Amino acid sequence: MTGMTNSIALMDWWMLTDFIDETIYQYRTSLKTRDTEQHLPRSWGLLLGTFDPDGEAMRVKEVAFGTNVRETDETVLAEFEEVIVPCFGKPYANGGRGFWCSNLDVLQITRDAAARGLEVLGSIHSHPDWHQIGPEHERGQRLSQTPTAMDEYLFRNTGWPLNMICYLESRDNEIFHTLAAWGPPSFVDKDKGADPITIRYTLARRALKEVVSHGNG
Amino acid sequence: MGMVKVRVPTAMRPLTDGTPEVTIVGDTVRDVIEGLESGYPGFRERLLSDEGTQRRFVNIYIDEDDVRYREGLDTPTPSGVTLWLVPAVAGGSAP
Repeated sequence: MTGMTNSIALMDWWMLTDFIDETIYQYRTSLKTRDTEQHLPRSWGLLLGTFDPDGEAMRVKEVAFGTNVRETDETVLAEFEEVIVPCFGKPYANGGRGFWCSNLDVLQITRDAAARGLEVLGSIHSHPDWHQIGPEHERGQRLSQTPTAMDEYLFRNTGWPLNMICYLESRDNEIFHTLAAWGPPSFVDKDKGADPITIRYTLARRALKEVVSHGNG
Repeated sequence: MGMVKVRVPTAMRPLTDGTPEVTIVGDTVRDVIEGLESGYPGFRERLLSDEGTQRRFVNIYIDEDDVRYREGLDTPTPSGVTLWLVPAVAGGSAP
């Protein structure tokens, strides 16, 4: 879009409540099962919102949830088998890793959103501190709120303007999180990575009287 | 020739300068993609592989129907239908 940078994501912090609840549930389940057959924590959702007319900011207003077809859709299985696993490593052969939303769900969510004046802006997914909570033989790679090579490959090929990652980390008896947002890497220049997007949370609402008397500046 | 409305996802809006819906003339999905490419360069590369097949990361629906499960790029596009371009929503997880 000419002059559009989409470099800022505006949101209310509580908008992610359902996603965060699911993320914590997945993380705790993984911790509880780590001595047996460890559950792979996975949480994700679609981000719905609008574009500000200034071309700089996106407003994230809702998270929508869909069906994961990572392990059932033929096209998805072929993509993992023929491209993702050879390029990004054998761990991705495990169907519990990565997510892929049902395409029909994406269509329906897009239509429902459009009927309410919203757009699908992209997605959010979680990264656990696998180097701490994962099995010993998988602690070599540190995850964080930055995209993995596989994330960047998917962000590039899907092209969504907003890709959020929620990183979870345990310290003593507490779980912390960091939220980060990324634009899609260039589809043309394959050497370029994902650019960060600034997240700004609503701090307060300005009173109408104040806006009227002092303008919007 | 069919007049087809094409719904452009936010992921591809840079190609249409922000326009969410465009009208293209074409009798099949392949025609519509070529029409998109001539009006808004870059669509062919986003929708089709180097071999000319539909890319896995993009789904094309005519109203409710996924063209992958109909006649693919040769699926007819009768006048008045809406063609939805729907990129995949996918991501990684543990290493």
